[in-house]
Amino acid sequence: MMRVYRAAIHNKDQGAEGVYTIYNLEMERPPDREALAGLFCNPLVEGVTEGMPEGEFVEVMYHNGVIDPQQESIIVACGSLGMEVTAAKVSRRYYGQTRNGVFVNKLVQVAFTEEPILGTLRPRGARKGMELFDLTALSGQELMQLSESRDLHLSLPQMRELAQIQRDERLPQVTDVFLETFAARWSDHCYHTTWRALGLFKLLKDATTRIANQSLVSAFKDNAGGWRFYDGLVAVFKLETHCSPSQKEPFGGQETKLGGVIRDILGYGLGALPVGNIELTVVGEFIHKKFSWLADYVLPAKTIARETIRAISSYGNRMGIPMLLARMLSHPNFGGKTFALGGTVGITTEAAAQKGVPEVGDLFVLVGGRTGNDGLHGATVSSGTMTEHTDTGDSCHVQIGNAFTEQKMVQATVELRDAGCVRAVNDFGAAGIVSAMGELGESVGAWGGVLINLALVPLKCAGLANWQIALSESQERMCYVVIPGKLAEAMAIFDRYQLEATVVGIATGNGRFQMIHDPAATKLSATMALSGEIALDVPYSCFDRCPLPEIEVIEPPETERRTCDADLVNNNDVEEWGLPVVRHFDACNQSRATTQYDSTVQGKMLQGPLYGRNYNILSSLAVLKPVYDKAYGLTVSQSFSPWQFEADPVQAAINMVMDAVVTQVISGVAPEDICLADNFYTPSKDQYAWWYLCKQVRAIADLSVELGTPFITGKDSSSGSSAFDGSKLIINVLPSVCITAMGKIDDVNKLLPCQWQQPGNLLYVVGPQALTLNGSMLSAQSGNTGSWLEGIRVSQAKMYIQKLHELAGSGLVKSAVPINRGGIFLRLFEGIEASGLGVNSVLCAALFPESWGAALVEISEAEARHFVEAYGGLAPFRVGRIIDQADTFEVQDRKLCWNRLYTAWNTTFQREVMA
Amino acid sequence: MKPFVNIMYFPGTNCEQETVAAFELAGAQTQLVFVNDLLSGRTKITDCDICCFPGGFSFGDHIGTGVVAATLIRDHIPQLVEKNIPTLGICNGFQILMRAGVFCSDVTLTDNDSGVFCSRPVHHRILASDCVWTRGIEDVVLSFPCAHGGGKVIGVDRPASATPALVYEGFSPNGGTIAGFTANDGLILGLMDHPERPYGNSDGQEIFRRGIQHVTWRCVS
Repeated sequence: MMRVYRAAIHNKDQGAEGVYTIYNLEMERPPDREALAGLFCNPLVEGVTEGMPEGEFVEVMYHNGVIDPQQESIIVACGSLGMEVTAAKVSRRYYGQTRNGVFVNKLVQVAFTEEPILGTLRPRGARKGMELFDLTALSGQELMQLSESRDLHLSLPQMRELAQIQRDERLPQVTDVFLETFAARWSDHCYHTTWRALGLFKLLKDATTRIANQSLVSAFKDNAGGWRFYDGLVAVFKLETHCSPSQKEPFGGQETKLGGVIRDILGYGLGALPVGNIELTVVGEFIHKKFSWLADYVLPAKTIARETIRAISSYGNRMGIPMLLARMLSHPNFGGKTFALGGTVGITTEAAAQKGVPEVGDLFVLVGGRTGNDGLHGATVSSGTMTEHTDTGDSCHVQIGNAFTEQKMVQATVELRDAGCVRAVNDFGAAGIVSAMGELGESVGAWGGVLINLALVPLKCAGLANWQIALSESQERMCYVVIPGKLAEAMAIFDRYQLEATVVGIATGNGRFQMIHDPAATKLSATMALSGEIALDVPYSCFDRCPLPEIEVIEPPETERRTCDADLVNNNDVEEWGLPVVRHFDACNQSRATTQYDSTVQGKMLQGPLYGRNYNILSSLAVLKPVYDKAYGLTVSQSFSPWQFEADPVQAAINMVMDAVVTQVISGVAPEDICLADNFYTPSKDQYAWWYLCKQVRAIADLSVELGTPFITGKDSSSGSSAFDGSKLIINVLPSVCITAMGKIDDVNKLLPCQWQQPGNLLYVVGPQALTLNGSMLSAQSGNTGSWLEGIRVSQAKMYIQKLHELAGSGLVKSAVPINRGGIFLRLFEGIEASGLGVNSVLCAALFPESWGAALVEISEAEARHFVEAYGGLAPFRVGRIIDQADTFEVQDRKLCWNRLYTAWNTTFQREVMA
Repeated sequence: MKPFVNIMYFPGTNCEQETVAAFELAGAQTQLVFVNDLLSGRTKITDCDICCFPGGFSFGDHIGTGVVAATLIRDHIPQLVEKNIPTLGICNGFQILMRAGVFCSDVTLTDNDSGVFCSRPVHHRILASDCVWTRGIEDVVLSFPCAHGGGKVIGVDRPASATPALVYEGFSPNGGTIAGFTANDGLILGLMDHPERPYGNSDGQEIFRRGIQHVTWRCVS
């Protein structure tokens, strides 16, 4: 008879009131306790607990509906010791002070405060039947009640269109699967309804088409953008936000953010190998000042920051993908909903860079993690506003990550691709099967058509309804469209990597998206009659009937033009001005977080997220050598500052593009070798948001055309508003866009370093120079970020960038960095800290404005005159001289207190996040 | 004839390709061996001149770092020792060998003092030992990155059957001083940090080359 046996492990140096790890094993025979001790204990530091201590405790474990991610490994390990385990769960029991702050995700976990009685560890429960609705019989009010009660986030016109589809298809009733499928397919996440309605998607895509860059392989049509690299290789990149989940359950949300975007790379073309990750998170204020009431409704920014670091480290490191760039920012408007952005770059071959067209009879194979109720309605939530109730009940969109499974999929994907087993591949993200398999099914033959048998989907939770199986966003799953004759070979590869793989669907080519639940229909054929429960049977053409919302674009009223002047008059005050710059959260030493991310795995990183003698300065440019024995370089830069968007959302968008491109160009990357990604974050409850959005998209599209650097991937999130207290309290994120640039260079040795090279050399600024403090971190401290921004005009951008490229290749520049957040002052501070040298600046007030799109270059004194004459068009002006004195920051010969500045810079992150 | 290196990998291992590249750059030919092939008997652990356990997160670090992998290969390790096959364990590979009992039972690896993962450049001073992987570069400081969360060596100062082979010079990512151990008359080296990174790192190549030179010389002699 099966029984659950428990073995508790404690750390030998902990007192009784500590944390205990308990292995719960379901077995037929009692385990060999000695063997268990050898397995679960590191004997020098851990011991098996004989009798748990008395006293109050909390014990947290996955509830029976969810399979513990460690179960598989425990079964393997116990099996090798002759112990047959049928199910396993690992729980953690906390006594005394350690109970404080224990987080319990009630959707998937259970917390015991008394000795648990565990009958079984296996999922139990009865499957729920389908619900049926006659939409044609419902009034407008009833249709909206239905939409709201199911969290469909469908508008009345959309609900009415569904009723019309029911009539047209002559369906007496529609199923819950029907409703949920359309809600997902017509969500902002999947259908980009807002962007389509505003014509923005087309605008950006048309700009890319107009540029006709020869390096373009794929833009806006696959899971990621493709950019021709060298030797028949294609560089791939994609960035995606995961804001709602990361706000509500930061660890799970951030883990699955990264897992999701990595799968986008795996699912590009016929599969690509991820070679680098990018991380950016913007949290709210650490002490709520602007929105003092917010503390009652949201997790503290410190918690979100800490959980973010823990999640990205845990997931990214296990994946074996190096961190390219990582940064964390803070702004009050992101306190209601964090900006959680993750990105991945990858490499594939030209031959595998385009998806194939699935043919009738091709098999849809679901691979990886099992399907559960973790993560539902992620797509539809993207259409709505987050509230304090967003994570309750079935509508929860919290997901559980398991990097172990996804890491195995990386290896398998590349092997499958190279074995020619797959016709197409797609990742499971928002909307689960509906999205991943539905999209692939759409491309079958001339008409599309796929049949999915939901009964064949392996489940990790008992009692899932059809709609939950269809919509589940359980992580670490991929769909491979396998050529029938190659199925055995593909299954052998999955088996080799110990990945569960199941044929759950077949390409029919009949033009319909069909889902059934029939446990008896294990052999699928393209022409079989539908059997069992018919969950969905509609023509693909119905999905094109989404009524787009009518969006009123309201121009904001003219307001008084506010300016934050840099009215610093002499060098006596520079140190006082500089202190708030270096201690600002956005600028401070974040290496305590960044060093937790493996930046060297794969052995391809030339310059990672940090540099300098103390390895603590955040890089602006990451450089990879993706091919071991070649000098080819893949370069990545990213630009985002909430303070710029607070001042002037439209010019800020231009400045972000300029900064991302200038970072590449001043290092030596040719403008035509750079491509871009946009990640918009728009507050739907801000009445002027759509006006800003339209202006932003047009501005960056025009700029990309001018520069010849196309956008090849992007994502729009229009759910940047959070409502609290019954929508009485609303926080809108700033209308903003993060710009990421990916470039290539045929020889990394041509790239300029960012670290100062030689004492005696001179420092110059080139490019558009700001004169005010508008949109700067310093202005943020004063509470007046201004209402306008300086920056380059789009019409001048091309000439500037070309001249800058010429300068980078001239041999005159010894080192170069972009000037962005913190202005010249912060660049000089970082230069000193990175190089171990000093600087004497001739500038004073001009140190502080943030000139986004400008650069700081190091020139030898001997060549300075020639540089100024030859590159006068770049408006160079001298900043100062590098001096051979460590930790010395002089402004007009007056020495600033380095220790004071350094301490301010070095302690902020520790205080706000780590303490 | 180039020496033949078996690079063992497990579900979750993620450093096998960079290790292949490093060994090949150093002059070896390599073969990736998946643990299942070993367990099924399709491949023998001794079918090579050198055996390497690369870094990564074998079995997702479930139960503990290297625990599941060590459980699976523990019975195969004596064959390596018996046949005097030079063996290198890097990071998780070191943890696997440690849990498999290669470096005796009075030392172990535990969590970094910081409690978190650490990835950054690190310097290592090579100690005088009989290790074939570091012979001839005693007292030299080699730089290659660390990337681990559980790399602190604790236990007795002088373990019975293992000898410290390299120590941290300056910053220690885990709070300990020892960065690697050698055992089995210097044939086995386990180290927490990554000499294979970045590709072509001349400091790290010193270690790979010495292991290869040892077996090349042995073949010739």
